[in-house]
Amino acid sequence: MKFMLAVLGDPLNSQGPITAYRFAEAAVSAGHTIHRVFFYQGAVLVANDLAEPPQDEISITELWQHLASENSIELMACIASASRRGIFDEDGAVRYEKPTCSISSGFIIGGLGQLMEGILVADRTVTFGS
Amino acid sequence: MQRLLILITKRPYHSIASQEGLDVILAASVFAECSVLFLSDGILQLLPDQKANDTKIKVFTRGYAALPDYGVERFYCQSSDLEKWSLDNKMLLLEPISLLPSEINPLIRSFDKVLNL
Repeated sequence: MKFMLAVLGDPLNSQGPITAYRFAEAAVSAGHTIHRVFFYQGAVLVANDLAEPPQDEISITELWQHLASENSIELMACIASASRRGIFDEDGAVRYEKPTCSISSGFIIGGLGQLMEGILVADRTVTFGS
Repeated sequence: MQRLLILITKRPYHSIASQEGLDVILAASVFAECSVLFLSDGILQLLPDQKANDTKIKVFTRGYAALPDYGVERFYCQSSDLEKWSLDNKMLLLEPISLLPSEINPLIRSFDKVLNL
């Protein structure tokens, strides 16, 4: 089965991103495919390259990066939600005159059109709220 | 075209989630035949004449009135939520169709895709 995941919950204030990660890991190991993971609203903070969790805490960003690279999963952060929260790719940093790009490697910026495309193409869409 | 139901469940100024939810409805209207179900505190999104500007917050809920222009024309709410807030669906923006709680599940199941925001 082809899944589309919409992750909405902030990584520091909700279980959304970690529950979504565990779902994705289980789905992939059961032989399913993940069409795309779309990070929207507070969940775009998962893609924040400027955050640094303490060394004895698990980095949700790194968990997603590893799972995505090993299974060719697209990790996409919504451009509107990301801009509001200071997450910019190279182009965005230039466009908005920010001092640095702040999106973690393995994540790309996209629009709500790609959320919709994923919902329509996938067999199932699962939302992980706040 | 696939039929998509979007669930709005949060009150309007609870967080920016509601404002970003309206953005999703607008984007979705391009790709699918969209309907919107306002559940629980989500019904408060449709209160007319909100004056959040007094609290320095953008009154984004006016944007709901534009949805029919985007081809989104079917709106639903739950009668028990109206009763909870002593509201009449005719007094709300978009005048959503009021459904009994027992009618919500069949409504949701009748769509191809459901997005819960």
